[in-house]
Amino acid sequence: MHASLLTIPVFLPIVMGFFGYLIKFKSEKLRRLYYSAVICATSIFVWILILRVDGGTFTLLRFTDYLEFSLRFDGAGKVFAGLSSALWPLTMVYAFDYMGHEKHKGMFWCFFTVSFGVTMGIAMASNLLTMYLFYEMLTLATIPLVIHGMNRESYHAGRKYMIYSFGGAAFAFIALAFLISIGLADFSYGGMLHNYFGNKDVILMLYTVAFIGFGVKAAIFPLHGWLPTASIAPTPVTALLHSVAVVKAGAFAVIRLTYYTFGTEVLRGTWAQYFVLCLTALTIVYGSAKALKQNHFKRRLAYSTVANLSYILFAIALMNESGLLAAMFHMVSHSFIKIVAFFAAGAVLHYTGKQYVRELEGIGQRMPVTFASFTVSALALTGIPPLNGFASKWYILTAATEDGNIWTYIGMAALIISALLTAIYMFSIVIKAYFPRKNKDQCQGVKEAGALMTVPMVLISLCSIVMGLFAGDLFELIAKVVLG
Amino acid sequence: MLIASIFIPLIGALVLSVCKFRSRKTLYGCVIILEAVCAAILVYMFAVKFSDSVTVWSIAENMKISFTPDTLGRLMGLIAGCGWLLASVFSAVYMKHETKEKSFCAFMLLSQAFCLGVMFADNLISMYIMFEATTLCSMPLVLHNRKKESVRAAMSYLFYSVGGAFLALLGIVFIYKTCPELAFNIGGNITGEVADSALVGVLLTVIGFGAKAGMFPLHAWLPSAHPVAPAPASALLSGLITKSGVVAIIRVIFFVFGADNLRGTWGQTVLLSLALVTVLMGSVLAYSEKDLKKRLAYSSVSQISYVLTGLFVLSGTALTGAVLQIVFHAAVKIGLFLCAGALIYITGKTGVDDYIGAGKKYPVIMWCFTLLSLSLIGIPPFGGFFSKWYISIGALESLSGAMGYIVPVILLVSALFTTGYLLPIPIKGFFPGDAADEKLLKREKEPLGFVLPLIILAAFVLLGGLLQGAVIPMISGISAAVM
Repeated sequence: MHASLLTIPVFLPIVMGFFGYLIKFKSEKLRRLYYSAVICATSIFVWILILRVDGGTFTLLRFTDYLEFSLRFDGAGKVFAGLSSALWPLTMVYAFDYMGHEKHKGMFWCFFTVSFGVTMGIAMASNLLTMYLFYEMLTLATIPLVIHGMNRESYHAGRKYMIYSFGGAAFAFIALAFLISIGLADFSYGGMLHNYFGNKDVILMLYTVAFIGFGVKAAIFPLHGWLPTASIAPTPVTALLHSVAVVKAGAFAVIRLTYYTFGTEVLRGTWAQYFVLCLTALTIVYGSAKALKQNHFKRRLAYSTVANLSYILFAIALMNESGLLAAMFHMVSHSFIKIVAFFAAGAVLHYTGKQYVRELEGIGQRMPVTFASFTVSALALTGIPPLNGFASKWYILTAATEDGNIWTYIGMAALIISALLTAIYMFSIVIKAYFPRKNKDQCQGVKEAGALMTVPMVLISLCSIVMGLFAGDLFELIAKVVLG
Repeated sequence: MLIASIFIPLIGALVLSVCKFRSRKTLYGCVIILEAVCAAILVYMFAVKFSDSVTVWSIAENMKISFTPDTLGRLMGLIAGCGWLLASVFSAVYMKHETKEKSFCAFMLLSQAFCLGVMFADNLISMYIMFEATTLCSMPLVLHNRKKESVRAAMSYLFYSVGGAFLALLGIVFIYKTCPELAFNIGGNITGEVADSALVGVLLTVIGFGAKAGMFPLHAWLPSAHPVAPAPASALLSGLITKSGVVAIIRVIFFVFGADNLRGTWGQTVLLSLALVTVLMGSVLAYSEKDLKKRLAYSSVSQISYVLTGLFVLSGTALTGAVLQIVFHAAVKIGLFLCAGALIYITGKTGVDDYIGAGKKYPVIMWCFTLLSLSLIGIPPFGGFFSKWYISIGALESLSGAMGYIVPVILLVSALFTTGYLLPIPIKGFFPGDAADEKLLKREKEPLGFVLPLIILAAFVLLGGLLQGAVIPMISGISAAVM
């Protein structure tokens, strides 16, 4: 198939999303029909492209000789795009129920759809400049979703999100400018600095700055603050964007930066690598420890995301092939795990109004399907075999032993400490839900969530189980797709 | 056959949790029949030396869930099968005082299934999976009565065990770097030079799995978790589920890393020291504890580290002692916890000093308590004596330097404490003295469901000791097959 078709999954949801905002729908049903048609069509199209497209580049705009706005679909992009487009329609179904009583539905659906297109743009960008543009657009497209509640708190969250994200992108821009100055090329595995013989420390400095810059979206310490604050947004947004699309876009950008722009040859064994390894190890422990301290259900999950994103960043920073594959694997499995956890938290919030963990005693028997899914997600997130979370931990750890040095060992220790903390903050919820203390049951009369919520939850958690059981095959598949 | 032994309790538990039972009688009837069938299969497997392997699932190329019963596995399976059967008979009476019996039975069966999985697993990954599952399924037994302290204890059990397992996982990854073969083979899989990282890996793995066996420094959960569970569950936790940690350690040291690679290294010294610290510490703490079940739990901490000491000596004789200790400690500790449960059930009292004069009123229970205690202390001709004897002899023979003497001395000192914390209970029970007010204890019949398992266990430790001519060759055969 021709590469020009890549424009469709990028621009179809963007254009149709805004168009939908302008239409006056006669009923809520029609609006749902319209947006589900757009989102499903995009999803299907992405999957067709994944299976059929070859490696061609399609240039939309040419600013100068170097600066092109162009799309290309390579292995890493396919994994990210496939992941997002699998979860988008399911979240949409969930949102039908969740957003039922919310205000400003038109705005929500518009930007929910637009950000799908922008995310696809990040996945399909063929060079750093294009990715950078989509990256900024993603921030813009998701701000309205964060401030959806339109009260003081959500404006505050939105402002914080905006400042962090744009600030981070500005850092990344420094590296971008440098790369443009020496001749920016398309992403290619192994990097584009083979012909650069200037000062190496400059490169390392720029890499570190750009890592932190893109790392903001992947919530790296100390620039993680926006993510827990942004959990004020409606649950479909926190579930999909703040544990899959936006934050994984950050991780994906770091992958592009490390493996496809600077190249691991230049970076491996330098202070820049050790610095980012330490930073990710710190974030892993910090995120999990903060999650343990949180009593607010969604904020706890948000901090857990902070830690888990740094699992991915840690694997990326290992800078070997197994590290890249492990990062990709955890990117996929964490998405499937965390989205279910957020869905469950959202279902509880929507149907009972309970926001805090301590209010959940005895809810397990009242919302059996929701909490069965949540339990699967808790087990997987902790890394209990044979679920997918175990496999990703295994791959990350074995990748870390490959070129074992003191910095990777620190990271491995961080991973294990964080796994224990994860067990504590997830299982304490599960235990509370299923085994209420005597006379402390607080959930009499709570009813199970509706089918529009439970069906996506069950489907996605089944995916987690299947991915765990076929972890070997999945890993090989990712290896084949990414490395060609 | 192998699959049946694991899946009968597993599927039984699932069916149990779905079915509705009209009375407790049918519920326990079903449970006991399930356990009996399972135990019969395990006995049969032991008798015919059944050793076919089964691969249940293959996650990835080097991550298979597969089981092969070897000599050690069959012995452990046999003990586990009998232990669970006796505990289920006991719980048929005991659980009258508790609620939510169905979920209790279901989780009991589930933990049996996964515990057997640990015993039969034939590679590290399957064992790890089964180990985690055992933890998760036995945790609800601890918080069964839903009191604040039981929930707290269950959580600390869960987190210590899961944390230990993660530590073990880290260790496994380090071992994996040196030796990509994680299947169990006698003598280990490492050929050639042993990297320091692999040695560190073994230490981490052993300490991690040691959490389940109550080994210092990850022992703190055990004395709080075991006593709060209902008595049959504490019996199983102390007697058998802790042994899954022991089996895991045996597998790592003897079947993956290789005893020869560990012998004489600093790693061995570290492990031995940890085990000895635990032996002594457990006894001392048990001596100073006033609550009967808590005292027994501390005693488990100490006694299971006898097994570990025997393992870490890394000689055939000591290993024989360790396996003997596994067998007899399992029988004794199940028995003692059941005695404690019976006393608590009948009298409603939990302190060690509350049973003054109990010997006259509940003679069978008290006699069994006495016999089992004597075995745990290690008085000949009871089974417990031989295990300690072989461990000490093994240490004297094969450890060089001061360690060879320290081991027997510590075991002896600890035995002294064991006498101190166990025997006063039957002594006060049989010889209450004038001051005691015997009317405090109700005169009640001892139910058959209590008496039967206790007599069987007491008879076992006595006969096991008396018939040592037959038992020792069998056990040393097993240890010879491991070394």
